[in-house]
Amino acid sequence: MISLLDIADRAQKGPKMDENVWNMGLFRKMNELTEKYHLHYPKDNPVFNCDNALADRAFMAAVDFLIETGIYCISTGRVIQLTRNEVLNTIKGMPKQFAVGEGKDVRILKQRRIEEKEELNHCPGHHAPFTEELAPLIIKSFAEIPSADYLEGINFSEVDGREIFGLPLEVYAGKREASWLRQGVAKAGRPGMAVAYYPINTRAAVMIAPIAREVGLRPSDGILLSVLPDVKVEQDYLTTAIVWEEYGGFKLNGNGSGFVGGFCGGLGGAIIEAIVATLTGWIVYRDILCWGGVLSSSAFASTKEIPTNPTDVWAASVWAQALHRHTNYIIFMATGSHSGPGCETQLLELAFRAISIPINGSNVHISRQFRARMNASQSPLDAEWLYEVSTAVMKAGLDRHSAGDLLLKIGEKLKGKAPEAPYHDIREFYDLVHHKPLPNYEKAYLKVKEEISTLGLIFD
Amino acid sequence: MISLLDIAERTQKGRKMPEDAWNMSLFRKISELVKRYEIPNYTKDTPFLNLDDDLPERAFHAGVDLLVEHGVYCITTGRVVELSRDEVLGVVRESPKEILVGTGKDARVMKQRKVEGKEPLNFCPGHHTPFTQDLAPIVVKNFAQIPRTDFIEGFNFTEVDGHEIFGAPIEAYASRRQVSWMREGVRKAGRPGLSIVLYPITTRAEVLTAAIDPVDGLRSGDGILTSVLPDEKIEHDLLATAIAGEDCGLWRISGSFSMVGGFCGGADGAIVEGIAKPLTAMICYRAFVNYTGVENVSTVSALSIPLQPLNWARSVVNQTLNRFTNTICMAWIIPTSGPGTESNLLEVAFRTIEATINGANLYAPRHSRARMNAGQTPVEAEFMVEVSDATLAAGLDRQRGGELLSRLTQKLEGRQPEPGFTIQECYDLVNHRPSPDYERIHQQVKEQLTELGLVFP
Repeated sequence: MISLLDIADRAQKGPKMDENVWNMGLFRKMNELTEKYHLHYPKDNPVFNCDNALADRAFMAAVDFLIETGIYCISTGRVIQLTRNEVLNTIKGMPKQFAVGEGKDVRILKQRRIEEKEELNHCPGHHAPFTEELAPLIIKSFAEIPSADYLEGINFSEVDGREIFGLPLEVYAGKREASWLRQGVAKAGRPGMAVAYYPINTRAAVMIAPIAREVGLRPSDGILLSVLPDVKVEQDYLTTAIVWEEYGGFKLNGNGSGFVGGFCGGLGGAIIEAIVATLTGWIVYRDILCWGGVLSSSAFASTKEIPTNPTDVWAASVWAQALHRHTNYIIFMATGSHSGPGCETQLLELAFRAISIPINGSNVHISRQFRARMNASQSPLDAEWLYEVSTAVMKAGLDRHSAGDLLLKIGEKLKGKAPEAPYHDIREFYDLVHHKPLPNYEKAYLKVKEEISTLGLIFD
Repeated sequence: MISLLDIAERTQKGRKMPEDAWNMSLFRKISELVKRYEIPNYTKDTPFLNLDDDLPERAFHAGVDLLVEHGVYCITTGRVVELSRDEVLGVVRESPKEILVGTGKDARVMKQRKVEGKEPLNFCPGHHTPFTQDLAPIVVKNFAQIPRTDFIEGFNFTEVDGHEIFGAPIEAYASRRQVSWMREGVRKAGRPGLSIVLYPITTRAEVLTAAIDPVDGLRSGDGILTSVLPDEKIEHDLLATAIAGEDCGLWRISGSFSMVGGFCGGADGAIVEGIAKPLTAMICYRAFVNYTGVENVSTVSALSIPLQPLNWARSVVNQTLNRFTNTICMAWIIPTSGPGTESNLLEVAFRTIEATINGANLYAPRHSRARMNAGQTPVEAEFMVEVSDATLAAGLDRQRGGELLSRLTQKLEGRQPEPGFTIQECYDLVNHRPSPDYERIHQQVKEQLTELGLVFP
């Protein structure tokens, strides 16, 4: 398995390349591999991929990309080159499961099976902005969710009344974030629960500073070290990964994704990029789990219409199947919404996304409005709902075909709808003190649940 | 006391200034303060060590005025950190006169000393010098074995595990290795709680903070070297590290000596900077331990053995800091000759006598132009303690000490720095003793010092 020090050496000594040249080279190579491995959306318009050979070809294309093109380090402007043996041997070293947290709060995070039927892992929040005044209650409230296996941090723009601006204040804020997370899970009666640091910013010093066994990040905690779009990495993350590797914490890649319409090109290129980005997270940072999939750049940024395009769902299923068939990667699905929390539309969006999670052998990741807003991007109920729907899909015994039908039905309900965001603060629709939705949100939740039940899901 | 977060804000929001403009303006301001406070320059009639008790008070005001009227420059943002008189004097007043370092039975108290004090000094025997990885396990143990050691500083190296140290990722890895070897070394010496100080592999904040780990790295009671840069300059990496260190209970030490011939001007201007700099370290990095004094470029480049006016200027600076501030002063003993030589030990003795009388604790003797594996041995460190104790035993004051140093000067004048030997050539690291040749030189130098008036037991 190639070591992180070898990667660091290559990031310093690999061939120099202008970033624009890299981008265009990536575009050409993705197109070439898409054609070489016939990675096209089938003519029968499936929602989930049912062709194992196609998933295998997508994986081979991704490995070829890493060998023939490499990985770009934006800090040094150099290409990290890899041999086939290095890529394949390193992939073999991935664990299929690992423990996070301490004491009675230890949880095992696992790779799931395609069309999974067993209880999934769950990270309910945050990865979202909250102000300092809300931090103590918000974290506690998310940590109180029984299915939560670990929690991710929050970000904020002020600390102790000061704007967070410049390295020294960022370091201070990073330490505060970790400290609030520790206090929050302890207040929820889960002092050993794993927390994953959500970087205040991505300077290495800001990511290393929160390490503190007593009052900060412990060896049983994690950190988000994401691969950049277009197969790019950076030295700040690599430095943090080296330190973190020795400290013992887990690392996660928040961008095992391909973006249709970026430098990877169309759907085929986006599938390859998503697999490459996931593998790169392990090879360069030793990210042990990943959330990702395939998204259209235009759909992701859409503010006028909620996208329900089945081709993205299909492409994400190819990504997941390729990883399951050829690696031990533990994946979580990106499950945000265009709508803000507190309304029926957002709950429907989340249900739409939740169907894919067990079908793709994924675990359940954060429900957050894509375009996050301060104090208004997520609530514990959205997270619990997402997990409920995923569990109901498994209980109903859905497979790729039947889940596809259900997904299309929910998609019909969302078709043509514009995203909604009726609230500006979580306290307008959620009672953080008593960990329950306010009556209006409770009503919306029960209504959507009833609607989904009529489509064939069975809730407890 | 002004908070480090206030300092951080001012580095972001203070007035912008090009660095060249800062340098020239510093030169003018220090020249003005030298005149305003009548800081003299050294002449042939000046006593070897300062005997003028009014001068330190004027020098103190000049140092404070420099901070109040000119501020501190942040090289990261190109901005000036402005300070009020109350803020500067608040730090002077409220900073501690002593700090506890290390843990458990190995904890030690680092104290401010008195000019012409009578108590044994605090002592850091090494490293602050380069050693290769293969020597690390045994070198650290050897320095930690010296009984009077209060804390021990790390070392640097150019390769780790066969990789050249190049770029932040490998630097962070090397930083963790350094403190891990230090922890192991002090454990092997039977002093697991001995305070260790990180000697930065590089000064990037991520490389410094990577070493923090209570199990196998820096923990509460340990320290980090966060030195103020020449010409009253600070940087974000060290400020961020100070903030992180403050949270973890790490103490800080700053190399806060000034340099004759820089933008501060001559010895008179260097005195002003030599006083302002440790105050800056306390204000901006909360570094209460400072190695203080005055050097010049040729000292640190090992081009010639430094003598006056540096000895006099150092005495003014240390007298000022000990009388008017709570700075815990240390003297960095940097002979221009390498270890294993008579010149090296004579230089160590010379500067140790001076430090003891000035009330400056003893810090990491090292060949000024340190070479790999040839910067120091435990002999110079132990000798430093021997000489300091002998100085105290002889009851030397500034006057008599100055006379003795004048005589010792005659032994050093005209000598060219000697390169010295590698540690393996002049020291037995397995048995913690010098080679027979080096031991002979050691005894001969001691005899010479005895003849000059020192009292060894």
